Amino acid sequence: MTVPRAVDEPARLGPDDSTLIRRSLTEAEEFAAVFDRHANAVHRYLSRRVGTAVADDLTAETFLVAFRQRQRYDLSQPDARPWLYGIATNLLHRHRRTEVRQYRALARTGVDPAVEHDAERVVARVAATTASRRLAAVLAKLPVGERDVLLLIANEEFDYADVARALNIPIGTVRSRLHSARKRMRAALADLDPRTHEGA
Amino acid sequence: MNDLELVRELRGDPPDAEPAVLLSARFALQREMRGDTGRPGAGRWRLATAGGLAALLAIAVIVAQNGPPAPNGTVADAAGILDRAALTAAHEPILPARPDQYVFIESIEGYHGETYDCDGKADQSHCTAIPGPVTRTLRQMWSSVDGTHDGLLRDRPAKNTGAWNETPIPFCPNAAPVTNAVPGASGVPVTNAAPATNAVPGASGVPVTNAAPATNGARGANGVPGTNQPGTNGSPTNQPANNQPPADNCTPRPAYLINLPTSAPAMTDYLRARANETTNGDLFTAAGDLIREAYLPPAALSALFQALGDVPDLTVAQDAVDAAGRHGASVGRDAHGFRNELIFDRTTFAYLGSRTIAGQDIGKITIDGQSAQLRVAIVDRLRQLP
Repeated sequence: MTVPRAVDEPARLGPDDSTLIRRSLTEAEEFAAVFDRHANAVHRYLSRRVGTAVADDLTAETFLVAFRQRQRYDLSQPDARPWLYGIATNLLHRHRRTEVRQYRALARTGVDPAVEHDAERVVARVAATTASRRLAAVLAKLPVGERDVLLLIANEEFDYADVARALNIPIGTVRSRLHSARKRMRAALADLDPRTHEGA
Repeated sequence: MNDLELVRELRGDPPDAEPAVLLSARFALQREMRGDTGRPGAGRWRLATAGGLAALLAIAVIVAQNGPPAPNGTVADAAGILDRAALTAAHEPILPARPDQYVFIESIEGYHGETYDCDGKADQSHCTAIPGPVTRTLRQMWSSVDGTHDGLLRDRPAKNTGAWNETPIPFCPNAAPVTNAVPGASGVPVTNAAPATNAVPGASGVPVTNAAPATNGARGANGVPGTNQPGTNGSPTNQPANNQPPADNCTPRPAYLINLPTSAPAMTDYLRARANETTNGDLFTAAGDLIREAYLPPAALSALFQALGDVPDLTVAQDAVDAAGRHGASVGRDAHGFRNELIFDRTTFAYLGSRTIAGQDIGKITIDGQSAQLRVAIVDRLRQLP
Protein backbone atom coordinates (compact mmCIF):
# COMPACT_ATOMS: atom_id res chain seq x y z
CA MET A 1 0.00 0.00 0.00
CA THR A 2 1.14 3.43 -0.76
CA VAL A 3 1.76 5.53 2.28
CA PRO A 4 1.13 9.18 1.58
CA ARG A 5 4.05 11.46 1.80
CA ALA A 6 4.64 13.17 5.08
CA VAL A 7 3.19 16.61 5.24
CA ASP A 8 5.54 18.31 7.61
CA GLU A 9 7.20 20.62 5.12
CA PRO A 10 4.63 23.26 4.43
CA ALA A 11 7.24 25.68 3.17
CA ARG A 12 7.78 23.46 0.15
CA LEU A 13 4.20 23.43 -0.90
CA GLY A 14 3.37 24.84 -4.25
CA PRO A 15 5.27 24.83 -7.49
CA ASP A 16 8.92 25.85 -7.46
CA ASP A 17 10.11 29.04 -9.11
CA SER A 18 11.18 27.44 -12.35
CA THR A 19 7.73 25.89 -12.75
CA LEU A 20 6.10 29.26 -12.22
CA ILE A 21 8.44 30.94 -14.65
CA ARG A 22 7.92 28.23 -17.24
CA ARG A 23 4.16 28.65 -16.90
CA SER A 24 4.53 32.40 -17.14
CA LEU A 25 5.93 31.94 -20.63
CA THR A 26 2.41 31.14 -21.78
CA GLU A 27 0.38 32.52 -18.87
CA ALA A 28 2.08 35.78 -18.01
CA GLU A 29 0.12 36.21 -14.81
CA GLU A 30 1.79 33.21 -13.25
CA PHE A 31 4.79 35.42 -12.76
CA ALA A 32 2.95 37.23 -9.99
CA ALA A 33 3.67 34.29 -7.71
CA VAL A 34 7.39 34.87 -8.17
CA PHE A 35 6.88 38.43 -7.05
CA ASP A 36 4.88 37.43 -3.99
CA ARG A 37 7.44 34.91 -2.98
CA HIS A 38 10.54 37.05 -3.30
CA ALA A 39 9.65 40.73 -3.38
CA ASN A 40 10.19 41.23 0.33
CA ALA A 41 13.58 39.55 0.29
CA VAL A 42 14.74 41.46 -2.76
CA HIS A 43 13.64 44.67 -1.12
CA ARG A 44 15.52 43.77 2.03
CA TYR A 45 18.68 43.07 0.05
CA LEU A 46 18.46 46.35 -1.79
CA SER A 47 17.53 48.21 1.36
CA ARG A 48 20.54 46.89 3.19
CA ARG A 49 22.82 48.03 0.42
CA VAL A 50 21.50 51.47 -0.46
CA GLY A 51 18.75 52.29 2.00
CA THR A 52 14.99 52.09 1.77
CA ALA A 53 14.38 54.96 -0.60
CA VAL A 54 16.41 53.55 -3.46
CA ALA A 55 15.29 50.02 -2.65
CA ASP A 56 11.67 51.02 -3.10
CA ASP A 57 12.28 51.97 -6.71
CA LEU A 58 14.67 49.19 -7.55
CA THR A 59 12.43 46.43 -6.24
CA ALA A 60 9.77 47.29 -8.78
CA GLU A 61 12.36 47.58 -11.50
CA THR A 62 13.98 44.28 -10.60
CA PHE A 63 10.75 42.40 -11.19
CA LEU A 64 9.96 44.25 -14.38
CA VAL A 65 13.37 43.36 -15.76
CA ALA A 66 13.01 39.80 -14.52
CA PHE A 67 9.63 39.46 -16.17
CA ARG A 68 10.94 40.76 -19.48
CA GLN A 69 13.93 38.44 -19.31
CA ARG A 70 12.07 35.38 -18.13
CA GLN A 71 12.69 33.57 -21.43
CA ARG A 72 16.33 33.54 -20.46
CA TYR A 73 15.74 31.93 -17.10
CA ASP A 74 17.59 28.64 -16.66
CA LEU A 75 14.62 26.35 -16.03
CA SER A 76 16.84 23.71 -14.48
CA GLN A 77 17.18 26.02 -11.46
CA PRO A 78 14.28 25.60 -9.06
CA ASP A 79 15.15 28.67 -6.97
CA ALA A 80 14.88 32.05 -8.66
CA ARG A 81 16.54 33.94 -5.86
CA PRO A 82 20.07 34.09 -7.32
CA TRP A 83 18.67 35.20 -10.66
CA LEU A 84 16.57 37.94 -9.06
CA TYR A 85 19.40 39.11 -6.82
CA GLY A 86 21.66 39.23 -9.85
CA ILE A 87 19.24 41.52 -11.64
CA ALA A 88 18.89 43.63 -8.52
CA THR A 89 22.65 43.84 -8.20
CA ASN A 90 23.01 45.01 -11.78
CA LEU A 91 20.44 47.71 -11.18
CA LEU A 92 22.27 48.70 -8.01
CA HIS A 93 25.36 49.52 -10.00
CA ARG A 94 23.67 52.64 -11.28
CA HIS A 95 23.55 53.74 -7.68
CA ARG A 96 27.13 52.83 -6.91
CA ARG A 97 28.01 56.37 -5.96
CA THR A 98 25.12 56.57 -3.53
CA GLU A 99 26.21 53.35 -1.93
CA VAL A 100 29.83 54.45 -1.59
CA ARG A 101 28.83 57.85 -0.25
CA GLN A 102 26.74 56.22 2.45
CA TYR A 103 29.59 54.01 3.55
CA ARG A 104 31.95 57.00 3.63
CA ALA A 105 29.52 58.97 5.75
CA LEU A 106 29.18 56.06 8.13
CA ALA A 107 32.95 55.76 8.35
CA ARG A 108 33.36 59.47 9.05
CA THR A 109 30.47 60.14 11.39
CA GLY A 110 29.32 56.80 12.75
CA VAL A 111 25.83 57.58 11.49
CA ASP A 112 24.55 55.52 8.62
CA PRO A 113 22.53 57.52 6.11
CA ALA A 114 21.08 54.30 4.72
CA VAL A 115 19.45 53.40 7.99
CA GLU A 116 16.28 55.04 9.16
CA HIS A 117 16.92 57.83 11.57
CA ASP A 118 14.70 57.00 14.41
CA ALA A 119 16.42 58.11 17.57
CA GLU A 120 17.05 54.78 19.23
CA ARG A 121 18.60 53.23 16.21
CA VAL A 122 20.90 56.16 15.67
CA VAL A 123 22.08 56.04 19.25
CA ALA A 124 22.69 52.34 18.94
CA ARG A 125 24.57 52.83 15.71
CA VAL A 126 26.64 55.69 16.99
CA ALA A 127 27.69 53.55 19.86
CA ALA A 128 28.46 50.92 17.27
CA THR A 129 32.10 51.05 17.50
CA THR A 130 35.21 51.83 15.77
CA ALA A 131 35.03 48.48 14.08
CA SER A 132 31.93 49.24 12.10
CA ARG A 133 33.28 52.63 11.02
CA ARG A 134 36.45 51.05 9.78
CA LEU A 135 34.45 48.37 8.08
CA ALA A 136 32.37 51.00 6.34
CA ALA A 137 35.56 52.61 5.12
CA VAL A 138 36.69 49.32 3.66
CA LEU A 139 33.32 48.72 2.00
CA ALA A 140 33.47 52.18 0.46
CA LYS A 141 36.80 51.39 -1.14
CA LEU A 142 36.16 47.82 -2.24
CA PRO A 143 36.06 47.15 -5.97
CA VAL A 144 32.41 46.81 -6.86
CA GLY A 145 32.75 43.16 -7.85
CA GLU A 146 34.22 42.30 -4.49
CA ARG A 147 31.54 44.24 -2.66
CA ASP A 148 28.83 42.34 -4.57
CA VAL A 149 30.32 39.00 -3.61
CA LEU A 150 30.97 39.97 -0.02
CA LEU A 151 27.51 41.34 0.64
CA LEU A 152 25.68 38.47 -1.03
CA ILE A 153 27.59 36.04 1.16
CA ALA A 154 27.62 38.02 4.40
CA ASN A 155 24.15 39.53 4.28
CA GLU A 156 22.14 37.12 2.19
CA GLU A 157 23.93 33.93 3.17
CA PHE A 158 24.34 32.86 -0.43
CA ASP A 159 26.74 30.02 -1.08
CA TYR A 160 29.43 30.24 -3.72
CA ALA A 161 27.30 28.59 -6.37
CA ASP A 162 24.41 31.01 -5.77
CA VAL A 163 26.74 33.99 -5.97
CA ALA A 164 28.28 32.64 -9.15
CA ARG A 165 24.81 32.34 -10.66
CA ALA A 166 23.70 35.74 -9.47
CA LEU A 167 26.72 37.61 -10.77
CA ASN A 168 27.31 35.36 -13.73
CA ILE A 169 30.92 34.69 -12.81
CA PRO A 170 32.82 31.45 -12.27
CA ILE A 171 32.90 30.00 -8.78
CA GLY A 172 36.67 30.44 -8.71
CA THR A 173 36.17 34.16 -9.18
CA VAL A 174 33.68 34.20 -6.31
CA ARG A 175 36.28 32.60 -4.08
CA SER A 176 39.07 34.94 -5.02
CA ARG A 177 36.94 38.06 -4.69
CA LEU A 178 35.70 36.99 -1.29
CA HIS A 179 39.23 36.16 -0.19
CA SER A 180 40.48 39.54 -1.31
CA ALA A 181 37.63 41.42 0.37
CA ARG A 182 38.11 39.59 3.65
CA LYS A 183 41.85 40.26 3.57
CA ARG A 184 41.15 43.99 3.32
CA MET A 185 38.67 43.84 6.17
CA ARG A 186 40.98 41.91 8.42
CA ALA A 187 43.80 44.30 7.75
CA ALA A 188 41.56 47.22 8.68
CA LEU A 189 40.45 45.54 11.87
CA ALA A 190 43.77 43.98 12.80
CA ASP A 191 44.64 46.17 15.76
CA LEU A 192 41.21 45.85 17.39
CA ASP A 193 40.29 43.28 19.99
CA PRO A 194 39.76 40.18 17.86
CA ARG A 195 36.94 38.88 20.05
CA THR A 196 34.70 41.89 19.95
CA HIS A 197 36.24 44.39 17.59
CA GLU A 198 35.16 46.90 20.18
CA GLY A 199 38.57 48.10 21.32
CA ALA A 200 40.49 51.32 20.73
CA MET B 1 32.21 37.76 15.81
CA ASN B 2 34.05 37.22 12.57
CA ASP B 3 34.39 39.73 9.80
CA LEU B 4 31.42 38.43 7.82
CA GLU B 5 29.17 38.65 10.84
CA LEU B 6 30.43 42.14 11.44
CA VAL B 7 29.43 43.09 7.90
CA ARG B 8 25.98 41.69 8.52
CA GLU B 9 25.70 43.58 11.79
CA LEU B 10 26.72 46.82 10.16
CA ARG B 11 23.21 47.60 9.08
CA GLY B 12 21.29 44.92 10.87
CA ASP B 13 17.98 43.81 9.48
CA PRO B 14 16.27 46.58 7.60
CA PRO B 15 12.57 47.06 8.23
CA ASP B 16 10.14 45.26 5.96
CA ALA B 17 9.07 47.06 2.85
CA GLU B 18 6.06 49.28 3.23
CA PRO B 19 2.94 47.53 1.91
CA ALA B 20 2.24 50.49 -0.31
CA VAL B 21 5.68 50.16 -1.88
CA LEU B 22 5.18 46.50 -2.71
CA LEU B 23 1.70 47.27 -3.89
CA SER B 24 2.94 49.82 -6.32
CA ALA B 25 5.68 47.46 -7.48
CA ARG B 26 3.10 44.79 -8.02
CA PHE B 27 0.95 47.12 -10.02
CA ALA B 28 3.86 47.95 -12.24
CA LEU B 29 4.51 44.28 -12.82
CA GLN B 30 0.84 43.66 -13.40
CA ARG B 31 0.65 46.33 -16.07
CA GLU B 32 3.64 44.75 -17.69
CA MET B 33 2.08 41.29 -17.59
CA ARG B 34 -1.14 42.52 -19.11
CA GLY B 35 0.70 44.29 -21.84
CA ASP B 36 2.59 41.12 -22.52
CA THR B 37 -0.37 38.84 -22.97
CA GLY B 38 -2.85 41.21 -24.49
CA ARG B 39 -5.48 38.61 -23.79
CA PRO B 40 -8.95 39.81 -23.04
CA GLY B 41 -9.72 39.03 -19.48
CA ALA B 42 -6.11 39.23 -18.52
CA GLY B 43 -7.03 42.36 -16.69
CA ARG B 44 -8.63 40.32 -14.02
CA TRP B 45 -5.93 39.78 -11.52
CA ARG B 46 -4.90 36.21 -11.19
CA LEU B 47 -3.49 36.23 -7.76
CA ALA B 48 -0.35 34.53 -6.79
CA THR B 49 -0.76 31.75 -4.31
CA ALA B 50 1.08 31.25 -1.09
CA GLY B 51 2.30 34.80 -1.22
CA GLY B 52 4.18 36.40 1.57
CA LEU B 53 2.54 39.76 1.30
CA ALA B 54 0.38 41.27 3.93
CA ALA B 55 -3.33 40.72 3.60
CA LEU B 56 -3.60 44.46 3.46
CA LEU B 57 -1.67 44.47 0.25
CA ALA B 58 -3.67 41.62 -1.13
CA ILE B 59 -6.95 43.31 -0.50
CA ALA B 60 -5.68 46.55 -1.92
CA VAL B 61 -4.68 44.81 -5.11
CA ILE B 62 -8.10 43.42 -5.59
CA VAL B 63 -9.83 46.65 -4.79
CA ALA B 64 -7.79 48.34 -7.40
CA GLN B 65 -8.41 45.58 -9.89
CA ASN B 66 -12.12 45.37 -9.54
CA GLY B 67 -12.65 49.03 -9.21
CA PRO B 68 -13.84 50.64 -6.05
CA PRO B 69 -16.32 48.75 -3.94
CA ALA B 70 -19.97 49.47 -4.46
CA PRO B 71 -21.17 52.59 -2.63
CA ASN B 72 -22.51 50.69 0.32
CA GLY B 73 -19.18 48.99 0.79
CA THR B 74 -20.13 45.74 -0.83
CA VAL B 75 -18.54 43.88 -3.66
CA ALA B 76 -21.30 43.40 -6.13
CA ASP B 77 -20.02 40.90 -8.64
CA ALA B 78 -19.47 37.22 -8.12
CA ALA B 79 -15.99 37.18 -9.60
CA GLY B 80 -14.98 40.03 -7.32
CA ILE B 81 -16.20 38.22 -4.23
CA LEU B 82 -14.48 35.00 -5.24
CA ASP B 83 -11.27 36.84 -6.07
CA ARG B 84 -11.22 38.36 -2.64
CA ALA B 85 -12.07 35.06 -1.05
CA ALA B 86 -9.17 33.55 -2.96
CA LEU B 87 -6.80 36.21 -1.70
CA THR B 88 -7.98 35.78 1.84
CA ALA B 89 -7.54 32.04 1.57
CA ALA B 90 -4.08 32.37 0.06
CA HIS B 91 -2.87 34.42 2.97
CA GLU B 92 -4.07 32.06 5.63
CA PRO B 93 -1.18 30.28 7.31
CA ILE B 94 -1.08 26.64 6.37
CA LEU B 95 -2.00 24.21 9.11
CA PRO B 96 0.94 21.87 9.48
CA ALA B 97 0.06 18.24 10.00
CA ARG B 98 1.69 14.90 10.52
CA PRO B 99 0.33 11.87 8.73
CA ASP B 100 -0.85 10.33 12.00
CA GLN B 101 -2.94 13.34 13.01
CA TYR B 102 -6.54 14.22 12.27
CA VAL B 103 -8.28 16.97 10.42
CA PHE B 104 -10.92 18.31 12.77
CA ILE B 105 -13.86 20.08 11.21
CA GLU B 106 -16.69 21.50 13.25
CA SER B 107 -19.76 22.69 11.47
CA ILE B 108 -23.44 23.25 11.79
CA GLU B 109 -25.68 21.70 9.21
CA GLY B 110 -29.25 22.75 8.87
CA TYR B 111 -32.03 21.02 6.95
CA HIS B 112 -35.71 21.53 6.56
CA GLY B 113 -37.94 18.82 7.67
CA GLU B 114 -40.92 18.35 5.37
CA THR B 115 -44.49 17.39 5.89
CA TYR B 116 -47.05 16.74 3.20
CA ASP B 117 -50.50 18.19 2.97
CA CYS B 118 -51.90 14.79 2.20
CA ASP B 119 -50.40 13.06 5.20
CA GLY B 120 -52.94 10.76 6.72
CA LYS B 121 -55.37 11.20 3.87
CA ALA B 122 -56.54 8.42 1.69
CA ASP B 123 -55.75 10.09 -1.56
CA GLN B 124 -52.05 10.66 -1.69
CA SER B 125 -51.79 11.31 -5.37
CA HIS B 126 -51.54 15.08 -5.15
CA CYS B 127 -49.14 15.78 -2.35
CA THR B 128 -47.45 19.07 -1.79
CA ALA B 129 -44.46 19.27 0.47
CA ILE B 130 -44.71 21.77 3.30
CA PRO B 131 -41.36 22.89 4.59
CA GLY B 132 -41.07 22.43 8.33
CA PRO B 133 -38.71 24.15 10.71
CA VAL B 134 -35.02 23.89 10.09
CA THR B 135 -33.24 21.25 12.09
CA ARG B 136 -29.71 22.26 12.93
CA THR B 137 -27.08 19.74 13.81
CA LEU B 138 -23.70 20.42 15.29
CA ARG B 139 -21.16 18.15 13.65
CA GLN B 140 -17.64 17.39 14.72
CA MET B 141 -15.58 15.26 12.45
CA TRP B 142 -12.11 13.83 12.82
CA SER B 143 -10.62 12.50 9.60
CA SER B 144 -7.24 10.90 9.26
CA VAL B 145 -4.67 13.24 7.74
CA ASP B 146 -3.15 10.54 5.58
CA GLY B 147 -6.31 8.51 5.36
CA THR B 148 -4.89 5.41 6.99
CA HIS B 149 -6.60 5.72 10.37
CA ASP B 150 -10.19 5.38 11.45
CA GLY B 151 -12.01 8.64 11.70
CA LEU B 152 -15.03 9.68 13.69
CA LEU B 153 -18.10 11.77 13.15
CA ARG B 154 -20.29 12.87 15.99
CA ASP B 155 -23.31 15.09 15.96
CA ARG B 156 -26.10 16.33 18.12
CA PRO B 157 -28.82 18.91 17.79
CA ALA B 158 -27.20 22.30 17.70
CA LYS B 159 -29.50 23.81 20.28
CA ASN B 160 -28.83 21.46 23.15
CA THR B 161 -25.90 19.89 24.88
CA GLY B 162 -27.15 16.35 24.91
CA ALA B 163 -25.22 13.22 24.19
CA TRP B 164 -23.31 12.88 20.98
CA ASN B 165 -24.39 10.48 18.37
CA GLU B 166 -21.14 8.93 17.22
CA THR B 167 -20.45 7.38 13.86
CA PRO B 168 -17.13 5.78 13.09
CA ILE B 169 -15.49 6.53 9.79
CA PRO B 170 -13.70 3.25 9.32
CA PHE B 171 -10.56 3.12 7.27
CA CYS B 172 -10.91 -0.51 6.30
CA PRO B 173 -14.49 -1.40 7.08
CA ASN B 174 -14.44 -4.76 5.40
CA ALA B 175 -11.29 -5.78 7.15
CA ALA B 176 -12.52 -4.57 10.50
CA PRO B 177 -16.31 -4.45 10.52
CA VAL B 178 -17.87 -1.78 12.63
CA THR B 179 -21.27 -2.25 14.13
CA ASN B 180 -22.42 1.17 13.16
CA ALA B 181 -21.32 0.79 9.58
CA VAL B 182 -22.97 2.71 6.83
CA PRO B 183 -25.62 0.82 4.93
CA GLY B 184 -24.42 -0.27 1.55
CA ALA B 185 -20.87 -0.65 2.63
CA SER B 186 -20.25 -3.79 0.69
CA GLY B 187 -21.69 -2.64 -2.56
CA VAL B 188 -20.74 0.96 -2.91
CA PRO B 189 -17.32 1.59 -1.56
CA VAL B 190 -17.33 5.24 -2.44
CA THR B 191 -20.09 6.20 -0.11
CA ASN B 192 -18.84 3.83 2.46
CA ALA B 193 -16.57 6.26 4.15
CA ALA B 194 -18.70 9.27 3.54
CA PRO B 195 -19.85 10.37 6.94
CA ALA B 196 -22.27 12.92 5.66
CA THR B 197 -24.65 10.30 4.40
CA ASN B 198 -24.76 8.99 7.87
CA ALA B 199 -25.15 12.12 9.79
CA VAL B 200 -27.79 14.13 8.13
CA PRO B 201 -30.44 12.53 6.00
CA GLY B 202 -30.76 14.35 2.77
CA ALA B 203 -27.40 15.99 3.15
CA SER B 204 -25.85 17.04 -0.08
CA GLY B 205 -22.65 15.67 1.31
CA VAL B 206 -22.78 12.24 -0.20
CA PRO B 207 -19.81 12.71 -2.46
CA VAL B 208 -17.93 14.58 0.16
CA THR B 209 -15.19 12.28 1.27
CA ASN B 210 -15.22 10.97 -2.19
CA ALA B 211 -13.08 13.91 -3.08
CA ALA B 212 -10.34 12.91 -0.77
CA PRO B 213 -9.77 9.43 -2.12
CA ALA B 214 -9.71 10.78 -5.62
CA THR B 215 -6.32 12.33 -5.19
CA ASN B 216 -5.18 9.38 -3.35
CA GLY B 217 -6.56 6.89 -5.75
CA ALA B 218 -4.69 8.61 -8.51
CA ARG B 219 -1.52 8.42 -6.56
CA GLY B 220 -1.92 4.76 -5.74
CA ALA B 221 -2.91 3.93 -9.26
CA ASN B 222 0.13 5.64 -10.64
CA GLY B 223 2.22 3.59 -8.33
CA VAL B 224 4.65 6.43 -7.84
CA PRO B 225 4.08 7.88 -4.41
CA GLY B 226 5.06 11.43 -3.87
CA THR B 227 5.73 12.27 -7.47
CA ASN B 228 2.43 13.86 -8.16
CA GLN B 229 2.85 17.53 -8.71
CA PRO B 230 0.25 20.02 -7.71
CA GLY B 231 -1.45 21.08 -10.85
CA THR B 232 -1.12 17.80 -12.61
CA ASN B 233 -2.55 15.55 -10.00
CA GLY B 234 -6.02 16.82 -10.37
CA SER B 235 -6.02 16.77 -14.10
CA PRO B 236 -8.64 14.41 -15.38
CA THR B 237 -6.22 13.02 -17.89
CA ASN B 238 -4.07 11.96 -15.03
CA GLN B 239 -6.81 10.02 -13.38
CA PRO B 240 -7.53 6.45 -14.09
CA ALA B 241 -10.62 6.15 -16.23
CA ASN B 242 -12.25 4.00 -13.64
CA ASN B 243 -11.43 5.62 -10.38
CA GLN B 244 -13.02 3.07 -8.11
CA PRO B 245 -11.13 2.14 -5.02
CA PRO B 246 -9.91 -1.44 -4.82
CA ALA B 247 -12.36 -4.03 -3.64
CA ASP B 248 -10.88 -4.17 -0.16
CA ASN B 249 -11.66 -0.48 0.16
CA CYS B 250 -8.48 0.03 2.07
CA THR B 251 -7.11 2.73 -0.12
CA PRO B 252 -6.11 5.60 2.13
CA ARG B 253 -8.43 8.55 1.96
CA PRO B 254 -6.50 11.54 3.18
CA ALA B 255 -8.51 14.38 4.64
CA TYR B 256 -5.51 16.66 4.32
CA LEU B 257 -5.51 17.31 0.61
CA ILE B 258 -1.94 18.17 0.00
CA ASN B 259 -1.81 17.27 -3.66
CA LEU B 260 -4.65 19.36 -4.96
CA PRO B 261 -3.95 21.69 -7.86
CA THR B 262 -2.88 25.18 -6.88
CA SER B 263 -3.63 27.00 -10.10
CA ALA B 264 -7.08 27.98 -11.18
CA PRO B 265 -7.10 26.16 -14.55
CA ALA B 266 -5.85 22.93 -13.03
CA MET B 267 -8.36 23.25 -10.22
CA THR B 268 -11.13 23.76 -12.73
CA ASP B 269 -10.14 20.52 -14.44
CA TYR B 270 -9.99 18.78 -11.12
CA LEU B 271 -13.38 20.04 -9.99
CA ARG B 272 -14.90 19.16 -13.31
CA ALA B 273 -13.66 15.61 -13.00
CA ARG B 274 -15.06 15.41 -9.47
CA ALA B 275 -18.33 16.98 -10.49
CA ASN B 276 -18.86 14.60 -13.37
CA GLU B 277 -18.50 11.66 -11.06
CA THR B 278 -20.45 12.87 -8.10
CA THR B 279 -22.61 15.92 -8.57
CA ASN B 280 -24.15 15.79 -12.01
CA GLY B 281 -21.44 18.00 -13.35
CA ASP B 282 -22.12 20.87 -10.99
CA LEU B 283 -18.78 22.43 -10.19
CA PHE B 284 -20.23 24.54 -7.46
CA THR B 285 -21.57 21.61 -5.50
CA ALA B 286 -18.38 19.67 -5.97
CA ALA B 287 -16.41 22.61 -4.60
CA GLY B 288 -18.69 23.01 -1.62
CA ASP B 289 -18.40 19.34 -0.79
CA LEU B 290 -14.64 19.56 -0.88
CA ILE B 291 -14.49 22.54 1.46
CA ARG B 292 -16.94 21.12 3.94
CA GLU B 293 -15.28 17.80 4.48
CA ALA B 294 -11.56 18.11 4.03
CA TYR B 295 -8.65 20.42 4.71
CA LEU B 296 -7.46 22.29 1.68
CA PRO B 297 -4.11 24.03 2.06
CA PRO B 298 -4.30 27.78 1.43
CA ALA B 299 -2.95 27.57 -2.10
CA ALA B 300 -5.48 24.93 -3.10
CA LEU B 301 -8.40 26.68 -1.42
CA SER B 302 -7.39 29.88 -3.11
CA ALA B 303 -7.22 28.11 -6.46
CA LEU B 304 -10.63 26.64 -5.82
CA PHE B 305 -12.24 30.04 -5.30
CA GLN B 306 -10.47 31.38 -8.35
CA ALA B 307 -11.67 28.44 -10.38
CA LEU B 308 -15.23 29.08 -9.30
CA GLY B 309 -14.84 32.66 -10.42
CA ASP B 310 -14.62 31.35 -13.96
CA VAL B 311 -17.90 29.47 -13.73
CA PRO B 312 -20.52 31.14 -15.91
CA ASP B 313 -23.90 32.41 -14.73
CA LEU B 314 -22.96 33.14 -11.14
CA THR B 315 -25.13 35.49 -9.18
CA VAL B 316 -24.71 37.26 -5.88
CA ALA B 317 -26.98 37.53 -2.87
CA GLN B 318 -25.82 40.39 -0.72
CA ASP B 319 -27.39 39.04 2.43
CA ALA B 320 -27.15 35.33 2.90
CA VAL B 321 -27.30 33.65 6.29
CA ASP B 322 -25.35 30.53 7.10
CA ALA B 323 -26.46 27.78 9.44
CA ALA B 324 -24.86 29.55 12.40
CA GLY B 325 -26.87 32.67 11.70
CA ARG B 326 -23.92 34.62 10.36
CA HIS B 327 -24.69 37.07 7.61
CA GLY B 328 -22.52 37.30 4.56
CA ALA B 329 -22.55 37.72 0.83
CA SER B 330 -23.11 34.64 -1.22
CA VAL B 331 -22.13 33.57 -4.66
CA GLY B 332 -24.34 30.99 -6.20
CA ARG B 333 -25.48 29.14 -9.22
CA ASP B 334 -28.74 27.58 -10.23
CA ALA B 335 -28.54 23.95 -11.06
CA HIS B 336 -31.24 21.32 -11.38
CA GLY B 337 -33.88 23.43 -9.71
CA PHE B 338 -31.70 24.31 -6.79
CA ARG B 339 -29.49 27.22 -6.16
CA ASN B 340 -26.22 26.33 -4.46
CA GLU B 341 -24.41 29.14 -2.72
CA LEU B 342 -21.16 29.67 -0.91
CA ILE B 343 -21.32 32.37 1.74
CA PHE B 344 -18.45 34.70 2.56
CA ASP B 345 -17.87 37.28 5.23
CA ARG B 346 -18.52 40.65 3.67
CA THR B 347 -15.48 42.23 5.25
CA THR B 348 -12.78 39.59 5.39
CA PHE B 349 -14.13 37.38 2.60
CA ALA B 350 -13.44 34.35 4.71
CA TYR B 351 -15.55 31.35 3.82
CA LEU B 352 -18.46 31.04 6.24
CA GLY B 353 -20.66 28.30 4.95
CA SER B 354 -23.08 27.32 2.27
CA ARG B 355 -26.75 27.04 1.61
CA THR B 356 -28.99 25.44 -0.93
CA ILE B 357 -32.15 27.14 -1.95
CA ALA B 358 -35.06 25.38 -3.56
CA GLY B 359 -36.28 27.20 -6.59
CA GLN B 360 -34.58 29.95 -8.44
CA ASP B 361 -36.28 32.96 -7.01
CA ILE B 362 -34.08 34.39 -4.32
CA GLY B 363 -36.72 36.90 -3.40
CA LYS B 364 -38.95 34.12 -2.17
CA ILE B 365 -36.53 31.61 -0.86
CA THR B 366 -36.97 28.28 0.67
CA ILE B 367 -33.85 27.14 2.37
CA ASP B 368 -33.27 23.55 1.51
CA GLY B 369 -30.01 23.15 3.34
CA GLN B 370 -27.51 25.25 5.17
CA SER B 371 -24.09 24.77 6.60
CA ALA B 372 -21.67 26.82 8.62
CA GLN B 373 -18.04 26.02 9.03
CA LEU B 374 -17.03 26.82 12.59
CA ARG B 375 -13.58 25.40 13.11
CA VAL B 376 -10.95 23.60 11.07
CA ALA B 377 -7.88 22.38 12.91
CA ILE B 378 -5.34 19.62 13.12
CA VAL B 379 -5.40 17.50 16.28
CA ASP B 380 -3.63 14.42 17.55
CA ARG B 381 -6.48 12.19 18.64
CA LEU B 382 -10.10 11.39 17.98
CA ARG B 383 -12.46 13.46 20.14
CA GLN B 384 -9.68 15.92 20.86
CA LEU B 385 -10.82 19.51 20.44
CA PRO B 386 -8.47 22.22 19.26
